[in-house]
Amino acid sequence: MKIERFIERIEGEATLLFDKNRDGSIRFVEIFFPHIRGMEKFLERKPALDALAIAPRVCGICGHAHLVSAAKALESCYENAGIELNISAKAEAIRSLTLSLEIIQNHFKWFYLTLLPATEGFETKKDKSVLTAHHAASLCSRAIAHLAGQWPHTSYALPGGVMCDPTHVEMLQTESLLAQIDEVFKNSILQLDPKDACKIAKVETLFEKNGDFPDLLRYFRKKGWERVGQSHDRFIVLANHPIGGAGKAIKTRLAPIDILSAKEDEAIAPEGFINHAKPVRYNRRFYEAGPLARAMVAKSYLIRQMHRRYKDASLSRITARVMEIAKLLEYCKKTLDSIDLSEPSYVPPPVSLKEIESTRGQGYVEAARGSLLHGVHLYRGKITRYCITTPTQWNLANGTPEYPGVAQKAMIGLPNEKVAEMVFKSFDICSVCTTQ
Amino acid sequence: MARRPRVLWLQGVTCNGDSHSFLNASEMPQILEKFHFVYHPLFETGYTLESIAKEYFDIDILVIEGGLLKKGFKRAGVESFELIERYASIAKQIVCAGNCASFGGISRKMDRNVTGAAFCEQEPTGLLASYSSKIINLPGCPIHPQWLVYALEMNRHGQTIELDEFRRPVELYGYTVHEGCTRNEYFEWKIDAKGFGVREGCLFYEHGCQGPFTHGSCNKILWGGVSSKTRAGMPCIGCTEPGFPSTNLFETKTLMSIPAKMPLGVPKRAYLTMTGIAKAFKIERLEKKKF
Repeated sequence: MKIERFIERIEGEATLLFDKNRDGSIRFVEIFFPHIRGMEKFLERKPALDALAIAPRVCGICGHAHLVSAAKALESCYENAGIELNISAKAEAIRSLTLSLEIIQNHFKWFYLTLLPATEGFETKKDKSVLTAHHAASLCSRAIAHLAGQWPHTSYALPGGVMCDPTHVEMLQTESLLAQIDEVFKNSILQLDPKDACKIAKVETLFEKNGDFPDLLRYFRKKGWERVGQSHDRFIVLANHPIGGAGKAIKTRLAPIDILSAKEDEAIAPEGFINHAKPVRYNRRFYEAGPLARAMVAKSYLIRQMHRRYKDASLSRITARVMEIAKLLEYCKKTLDSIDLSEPSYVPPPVSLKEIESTRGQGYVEAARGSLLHGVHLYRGKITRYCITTPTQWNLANGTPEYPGVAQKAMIGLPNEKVAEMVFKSFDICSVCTTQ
Repeated sequence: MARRPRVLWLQGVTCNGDSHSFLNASEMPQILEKFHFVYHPLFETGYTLESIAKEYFDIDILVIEGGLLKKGFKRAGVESFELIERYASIAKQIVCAGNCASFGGISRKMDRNVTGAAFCEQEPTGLLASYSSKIINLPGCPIHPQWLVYALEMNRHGQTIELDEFRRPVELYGYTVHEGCTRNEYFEWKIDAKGFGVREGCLFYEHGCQGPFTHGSCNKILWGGVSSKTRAGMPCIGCTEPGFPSTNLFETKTLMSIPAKMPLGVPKRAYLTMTGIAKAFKIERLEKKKF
């Protein structure tokens, strides 16, 4: 029996086509994103720097990650043409800080606006959830605005650094906002100071704490859902990030990665369905991207313990994402403190991209949902080809019943579509990124 | 308690940026108290898009985010345009949140079949042009949250909003982004920023800033209450105007060393006279980095 289910509030929408067994459990599922905007094509023939304004508009929630990827891709164009750029530590730190703040606001919104409402039977106060997400996100946005002017859709990063030149006043205001985000964290999601949250080493300690997240953990245990949502147990991280480095892991076995082995295929869909989500594989195998992958590759003690018990279940995925908030908040504070404002924000590249006959480059960052890759080809400063690979393409790729994609594998065998929808949303999906 | 105005937020072709920008509104607790959201793409309202598509809800305000595409973009089993048009006919007021809903925006650049509600770029030929009399455009990429709060509150108080030729509220778009920019003194004396990453200098002369001819109040009603693109050193890219985005956004197009596009309402001859005089001065305190 096949059942179509429309999934909304996932930064756009998707359609799931469930193939069900007689007892109602999921035999197989296919994922469709039926619309495409055409961002890659639109970028062709544009002056290279226009990518800084256009690429962020791929996505309203992780546009900053797209901006930094685009800036890094253009920087790599210089590097591949044999031209060295000098990016100051200050510029690198400011980019990383604003990118981390974007990830923090995403995780709060995902927890309160996407995951909790999808967890059947878990009682939440609707307005309280909205206002908690709003409060955390608006503080993050304000902190980004101090450095980047606004959020969403700033273009303040460019080859050579950043456009801002903050004073100690903006630094102090950002520090104050970080302290306020700490307060939201400990008054809502996990009633602990983020610094203390980062020290938690035992899974059971998490279950014993107070806050919306430990409440959810206990609810999962009560429902017997600790192991739902297990997938291939393979993880990929393409870029270095505040919590660890690039790499891949098969279960807990780590290995370095070769970016050239990450390949995008054509989107597939059965007759009568439209799908524009192109699957991405590494050495022709599906890998999970995102906070769980980052924590596994970074050998996070807590998440590895969680993984020892529950493997790559939704519970591990959720825990990795929530605990990433605490880690990033601590990172932001340290980074802010380390910035030397006397350094230049921007060091102009020695030549304009127009002066380079032909070059190409790749820029990758860890975005809220996982590894994001921008690839660009230039001819005399004009874009001749632009290719964007988003985290959701890793996680939501369609495979076959014999060899399912990551989210497909996580949903196969689940008792019904409601639980499947929760597992699906535990990946933190972005429809608009997938079909850019 | 007076009945709360009912707001329905529907999307066309979009990146979700306007939804997320709106969620930054510092007045959100008050907004949720004063307005009843029948549907919003980000937060729970008690209704799903499927129920919105199946039933007919009575609404006061329809907020449209994203460009309109007549065919080929289904949501919850129906063409998204069909759904938007249905509620456009029911709503007492239609608010277009962002450039895509207002003029087609970047979505139209990628697909020429996409239009704004009342307008298709500069032309009044949007797919919902027949409802123009009740449309208010709030372009921006994304919309500034306070601009939307303004429109909602004006509606709740039964106030008429004065609009410009592109149906943008004059109170918000009667200014240019240039107004309130912290770099204005450098503009006056024709001193350009020596590059990016500096506080000093105007971004209009060489770095492509469109602030002097872009309608908007980004430097009066600050983003997050604290900043704006130009304050952070980024040129304005004209995101409130029909036809956005233009191209070569970080370079000023010049004709014989004069910016090709003049500040709003300034004749070229007057501009040349004024800048000729301004350039005759050498103001040392503006020529060097402050600290």
